[in-house]
Amino acid sequence: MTQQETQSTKWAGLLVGLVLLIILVVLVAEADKWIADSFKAQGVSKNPLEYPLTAVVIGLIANAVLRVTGLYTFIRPAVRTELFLKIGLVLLGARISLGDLLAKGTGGLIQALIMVASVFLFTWWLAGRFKLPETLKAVMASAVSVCGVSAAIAAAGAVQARKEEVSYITTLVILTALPLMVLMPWLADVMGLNPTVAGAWFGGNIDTTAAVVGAGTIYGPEAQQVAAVVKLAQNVMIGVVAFLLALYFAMVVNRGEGERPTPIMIWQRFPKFVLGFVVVSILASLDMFTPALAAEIDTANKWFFALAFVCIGLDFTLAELRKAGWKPTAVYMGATVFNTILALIVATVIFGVLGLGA
Amino acid sequence: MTVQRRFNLSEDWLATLIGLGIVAIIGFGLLGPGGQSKTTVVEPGATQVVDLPAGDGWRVTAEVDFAPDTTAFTLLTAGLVYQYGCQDGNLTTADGVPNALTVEPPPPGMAQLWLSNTCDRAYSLTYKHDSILRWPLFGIFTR
Repeated sequence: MTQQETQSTKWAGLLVGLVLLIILVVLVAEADKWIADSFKAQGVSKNPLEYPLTAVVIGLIANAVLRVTGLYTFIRPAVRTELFLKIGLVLLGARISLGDLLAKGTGGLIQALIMVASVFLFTWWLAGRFKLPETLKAVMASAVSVCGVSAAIAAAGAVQARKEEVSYITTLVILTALPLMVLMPWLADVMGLNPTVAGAWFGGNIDTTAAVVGAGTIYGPEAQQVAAVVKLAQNVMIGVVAFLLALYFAMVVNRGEGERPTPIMIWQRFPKFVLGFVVVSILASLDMFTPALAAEIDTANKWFFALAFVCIGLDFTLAELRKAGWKPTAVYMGATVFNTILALIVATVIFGVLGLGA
Repeated sequence: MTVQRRFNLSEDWLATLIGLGIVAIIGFGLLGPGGQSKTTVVEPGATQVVDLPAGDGWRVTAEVDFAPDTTAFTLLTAGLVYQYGCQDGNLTTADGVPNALTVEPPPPGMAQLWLSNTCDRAYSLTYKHDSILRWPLFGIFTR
């Protein structure tokens, strides 16, 4: 196949994939409405199975069907979980005023500093006990402590990790994020957490931002906002983590051989979409959008989140995990348990006791 | 030999630009004023002034114990004032109340409803307008 033919196939796959995604999102909305109506008929006013879960399940089913029919690789260019999520997050800014952003963001930054440092060091230590390779340790510790897949990719670039290492960390991120997205809102409800603390807990623990937003959405709008802001605060740490990792690898692991990283890396790895989110939040605080128009932006935001949730299901694969063996899985699970417990304590202290996100 | 330069936009910047583009198109009202729903309750003897975006295709409903003897205004023109009242148990309408009657004229791009009630019971009037994006799929999550 010539390069031009490959490009054409890629574009065709992108277009067909996007149409398929829109159909799947419509299916999600229809299924969600049917589920909500069924619960309502039973006297349950709030649908406990919110649309993120429905979207992931439909994504997983579509994933299986596409793989069986051999169409998965063709439509793969349209499966852009991170892109859809980031657009959705920029739009979410219309619902969060600057005051709210500063309040929740301050708490979020403090929590992020504590969580990233503690979880990173714990994962690094645990991976060392299991004698995992240095590069895998770096990718895994970044994924668990910062923001899942994007952090894994950024860390892999900084430490020159192998592609397969990123692939199975990506699988582990999704494998743990999916059950947590459903379990954590349920646990928060059982523990009677208020939406702010619950949102901070989801944001501090679940690795992938999409699942954080999903868990927040399941718990309620306030939890969704806090979860997103806290996770964004954690996201902005990725540049610093990637820079420090690159420095450590250049100085210690490779003993001064190769190029030494410069602080510009912090900006290069900085998640720029956070700036878009802040700009929209400032516009909302200046009353630039009427309530009706803010509602329209909110509808667009729901579409992009739904696309991202469907893509989580479509992204899922177990093949890489089988190759990795049990050790990385055991370390990742251990780190996730540590993360879950610590995030609950830190979120309760910062957002509950100290009331920083109020 | 020619050197081909390709412009690559990172996913972060692409997401930011698309997001801001959507906000600019929808949020600044380039496609219209957005879906509207405004319910006003008018107590006996009271008057109410309501500003609404000018436009056609408004759906009007009134909640009264008595049958409305009126044809509602579904086309609202910018700068004009439309009057509803209640007389002898019936909802009534009147065209083009002069601006001088109202406390403040409608803001640019808006029309105004001037609601009075001389009956002995309250009535409510609801004005609704579809979402700016008539594409039926867009509002699928907000049904």
